[in-house]
Amino acid sequence: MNQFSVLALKEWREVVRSFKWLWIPIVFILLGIMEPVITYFLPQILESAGNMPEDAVFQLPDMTPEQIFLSTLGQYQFIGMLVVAFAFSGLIARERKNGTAAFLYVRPLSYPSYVLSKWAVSSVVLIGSFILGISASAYYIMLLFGEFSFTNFLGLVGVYSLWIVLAISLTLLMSALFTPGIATALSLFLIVFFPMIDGLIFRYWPYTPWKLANYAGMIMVGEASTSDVVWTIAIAVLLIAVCVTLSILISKRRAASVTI
Amino acid sequence: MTGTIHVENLTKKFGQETAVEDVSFTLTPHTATALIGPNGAGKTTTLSMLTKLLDPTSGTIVVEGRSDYDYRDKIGFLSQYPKFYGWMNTLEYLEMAARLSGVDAKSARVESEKALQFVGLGDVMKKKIAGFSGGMRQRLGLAQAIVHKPHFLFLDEPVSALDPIGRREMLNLIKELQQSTTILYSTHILNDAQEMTDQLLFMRKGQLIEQGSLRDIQKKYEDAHYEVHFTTAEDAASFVDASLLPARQEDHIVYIAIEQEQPTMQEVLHQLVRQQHAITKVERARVSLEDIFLKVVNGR
Repeated sequence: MNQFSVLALKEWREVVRSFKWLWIPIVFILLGIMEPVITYFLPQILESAGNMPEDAVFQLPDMTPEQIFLSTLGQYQFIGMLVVAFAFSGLIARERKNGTAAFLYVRPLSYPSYVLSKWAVSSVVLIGSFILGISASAYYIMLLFGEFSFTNFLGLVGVYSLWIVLAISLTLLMSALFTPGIATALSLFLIVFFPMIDGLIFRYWPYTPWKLANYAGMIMVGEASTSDVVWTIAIAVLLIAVCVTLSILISKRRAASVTI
Repeated sequence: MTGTIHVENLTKKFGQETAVEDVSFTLTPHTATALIGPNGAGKTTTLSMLTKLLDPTSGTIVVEGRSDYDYRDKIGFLSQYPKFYGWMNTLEYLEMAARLSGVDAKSARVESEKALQFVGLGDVMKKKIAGFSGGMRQRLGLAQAIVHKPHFLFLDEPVSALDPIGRREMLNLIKELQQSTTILYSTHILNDAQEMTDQLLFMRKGQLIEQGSLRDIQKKYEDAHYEVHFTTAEDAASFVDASLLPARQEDHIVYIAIEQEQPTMQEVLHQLVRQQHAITKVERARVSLEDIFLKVVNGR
């Protein structure tokens, strides 16, 4: 616990001094606001864009608040996850490559504290950013499209937060296993592209953790099967535990590869 | 027992390649030992095993009477090019180093300030490390290695990246630390080793090929002779012709071989006085560490 608090403080200071505490929430808030605002003002935007035939009429479908939430989650699934992969895939690998980790590894370091401090601080930053972003989105959705179920909204926040923790855990594992470049590439594959592949290949198997983001959206629209969601959550929690445990073991094993 | 390390038959293999082979030596308390060898000799691999960054393939490291335990709280390590978290300030960095090495939260601040004062960084405690010069970084590197008062200090080329002034400052600090710590350092700069070493370990191709005190090694490799510097080559030639000593001349310098401590300096001086030539210097030549290095490491 002692080492955990020392290392978590170091991670937190890094988040503050590299301005991750500022730009990551801003990205999530902008993504959250953009979807409802752009959708609502789309007719005016198209009109002001010009070059339209005089009699042109656009029949835009009426969007429900729940559908806007789904669109917002789509933004988070792509741009939000790109942010996760690029900002956090070097957590262990970069320290090992640039040699700063040697400072830690020659001390009586507790590797669980080392990995868990990175995992915890990254999760806090990302979940905090997501909650700020989705709350901003909810505010504009309520303002522009009307009311929605708050219980469903809480379900969305909870399940998507778990997906974020899983994304961080997978990214951390890649960082423990590989060099920074490979870790970023594989993290991108696992958290940005694999959920799309999963949707196609594992269509009839509802319990893969990569479907968590989908379930978050389905909870919002009230179409989620409780048993599917519960099983997926259970498997996701298990996968998170496996990823974190492996990250600890691999970090320890690969300590010798640090540049000194 | 405190401050003692026995390294016994230490070997490290990377696949088929042997980086360190059957190395044995002892570090005794409050001594400085220089690990000397060309690039690829196995110095850094040896230090990596001592700091527990690498596990040996075979052999044992007995630290203060015990082997196979985590002694990392007893060691301080400075790498050749220490890397830092540039966004941290000096005091934060040192406090973290102290805490991770087992110093309690209350003492960490005090010990960090002491270490920074010791290395001469007391006035930049609140400055970010990113703006530090090479010399300041090296001193900060030393501070993080000693903040927890380790029994052993392992330094990998501690002064090779520094300018002459920085090198002098760093050497003075290390000499001071020797009074309370057992030091093992690798170096290419042989003058430094000559200046502050109790024991020399020569490595080549992963093997320890010579070890002992500077005096013993010098004695072993010494090409004993006196050197007499005359003002002119003619005087030198005249001295060699007239002298009964085993002397040979090169320009204005005469070399007189010593065999079994004969002739003595007194006899040489006596002959010089008798012949009344003008001389500028007479000395018993000492074999330099560089000469020994070339002989031992390159097998010359």
